[in-house]
Amino acid sequence: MRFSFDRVADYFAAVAALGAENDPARQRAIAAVLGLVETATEPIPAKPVTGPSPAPALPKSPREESSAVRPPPARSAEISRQPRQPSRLQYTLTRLSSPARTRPDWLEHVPPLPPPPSGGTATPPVPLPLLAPRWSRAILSTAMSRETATNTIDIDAIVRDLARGLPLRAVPRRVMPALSHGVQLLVDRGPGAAPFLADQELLIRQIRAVAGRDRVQLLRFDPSRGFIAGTGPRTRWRDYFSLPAPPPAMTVVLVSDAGTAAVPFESNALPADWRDFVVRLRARGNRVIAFVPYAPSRWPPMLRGILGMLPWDRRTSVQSVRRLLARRGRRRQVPP
Amino acid sequence: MSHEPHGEIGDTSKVYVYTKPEIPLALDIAIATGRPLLVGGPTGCGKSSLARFTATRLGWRFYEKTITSMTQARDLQWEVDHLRRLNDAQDQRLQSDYTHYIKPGVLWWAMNRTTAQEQAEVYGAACKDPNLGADHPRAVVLLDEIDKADPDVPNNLLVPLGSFHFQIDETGAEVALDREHSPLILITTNGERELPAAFLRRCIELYLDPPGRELLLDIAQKHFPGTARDHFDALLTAVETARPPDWTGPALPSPAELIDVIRATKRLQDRSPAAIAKLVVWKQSQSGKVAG
Repeated sequence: MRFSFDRVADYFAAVAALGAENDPARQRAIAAVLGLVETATEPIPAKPVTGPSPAPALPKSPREESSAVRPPPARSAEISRQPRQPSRLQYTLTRLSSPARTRPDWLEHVPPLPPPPSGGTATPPVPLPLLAPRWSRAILSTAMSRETATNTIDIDAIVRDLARGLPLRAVPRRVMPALSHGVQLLVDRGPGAAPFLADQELLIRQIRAVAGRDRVQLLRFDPSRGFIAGTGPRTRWRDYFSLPAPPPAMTVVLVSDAGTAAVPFESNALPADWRDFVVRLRARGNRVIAFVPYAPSRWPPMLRGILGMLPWDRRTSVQSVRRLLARRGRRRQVPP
Repeated sequence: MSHEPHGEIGDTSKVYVYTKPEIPLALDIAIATGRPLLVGGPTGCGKSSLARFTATRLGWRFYEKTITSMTQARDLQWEVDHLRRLNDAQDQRLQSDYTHYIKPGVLWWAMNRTTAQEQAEVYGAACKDPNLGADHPRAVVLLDEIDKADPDVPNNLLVPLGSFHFQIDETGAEVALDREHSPLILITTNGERELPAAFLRRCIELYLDPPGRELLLDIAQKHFPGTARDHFDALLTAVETARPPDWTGPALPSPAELIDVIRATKRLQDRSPAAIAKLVVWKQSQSGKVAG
């Protein structure tokens, strides 16, 4: 529901304009369309407002709909309230020792607790977003956008060149950050990133919401197996560099621990492997930025100079993203 | 209001079937409150057609702007022809007043046709009223596929859409709504991208669900009144049959796709419906790849 003073004002304006002052069913329908109530309970009588206003085309009764109003899209702050998936984790507890105890008399008179309502299936808590919900949209947008020439002519640049007596060889365009070039999202599914599986899914949803689903190319990869990557089952993944390269203007977003967490008994990628991967990635000319769920003090020193890493954390701000981009000099314009 | 189909067969500006009863009410409320109507729904479910049809039914002017990744909010209000100004400077014909280089955008034309017309005359012959509808004081504006715009664009539209007022940066001139003739603005979204909360607050939202089989047949009958319902039913079955066993796309074609396939069968009578249905399925599978 969208309850605000503006919405209430809209409601009264619509009721008056549509002549629904004495028509409770129509009032409720208007409230439903404005999102002030959940659903319209009765079929909506269509009345013209001004002149030849549209009316239903179907001769039969229109279909009953659950709601006229689209449910609001999941905001980052609301994602945590989404239905949770049942846990697949099963465990067995084995009692190691059972000390002999005498059953107290009072226990006979205590009523048992009711059984758990869901059959006892435990559900893990849904993680809160790692980026500050209030700023996540701006953070992601800033991190992923590239400087792009618009259709607007850059007058300042022309004046600057003409004032210096330079000939105008090409008409300069005004440059603005834009997401039009899209994003290749590389999500780490290696053992080191396993604790952040749910956080990754949340971030994927957030990135798709900001950049647009059609502009996000999602690949999952496993650094512990030679940086194989793909979209389907892991058995079909191939060496990342054997896959078609993203266009140079596309930003590559790495969601990974970047080798920070070495998991015991797993074949973790070595720091040198990570360095080689990043060097080859950057050699393609794409802007590469990594969201790393560990404190900067723990990041592999070998990657610090070559990979733009952002702490995937509540303390990350738009300013910190801008500082990183400025430091790495990657706010350069994308060639048209 | 009568919904007798007229015009060219399958003409979506003159025939439209409301797939849910809230549609006319949402239009009425948007007109009454002066709020933009944000129409969501899957591709081909009739979002853009709703705007064209509404303009036709109301007899209002109609302006359409398809949003692209390069569209800026300002382009919808006015554009400055810097290239022309540069040419004039080269030819020693430079006008000192910027007004000569400003072209009104669709929102300007819709909000205040009088001042837009005056500005167009100052600009010159190349600028004409882009009205695609009737000659009427009021207008319907379609801003199609807002998702394609950069995230800042919806935010930059808050003021012109909220207060129907904007100021031209280059000249300082103000463009205000002719209050008696406020436009109806329809904005479409495929839900590809989350729109800013402030933008959503200013819109009336309407979601168009993909119609079921019976409703699709109703739509087909309204668009092609001379054809038996069984013919459309057979076409739908042909589309379903043409799909591979592992089909994961939508269960039914969208209304736009169905109208296309009916129109194709009528115009390409030497081709079998099954062959055309295969083409529809292929098209659907390609769109699925792009979307996915």
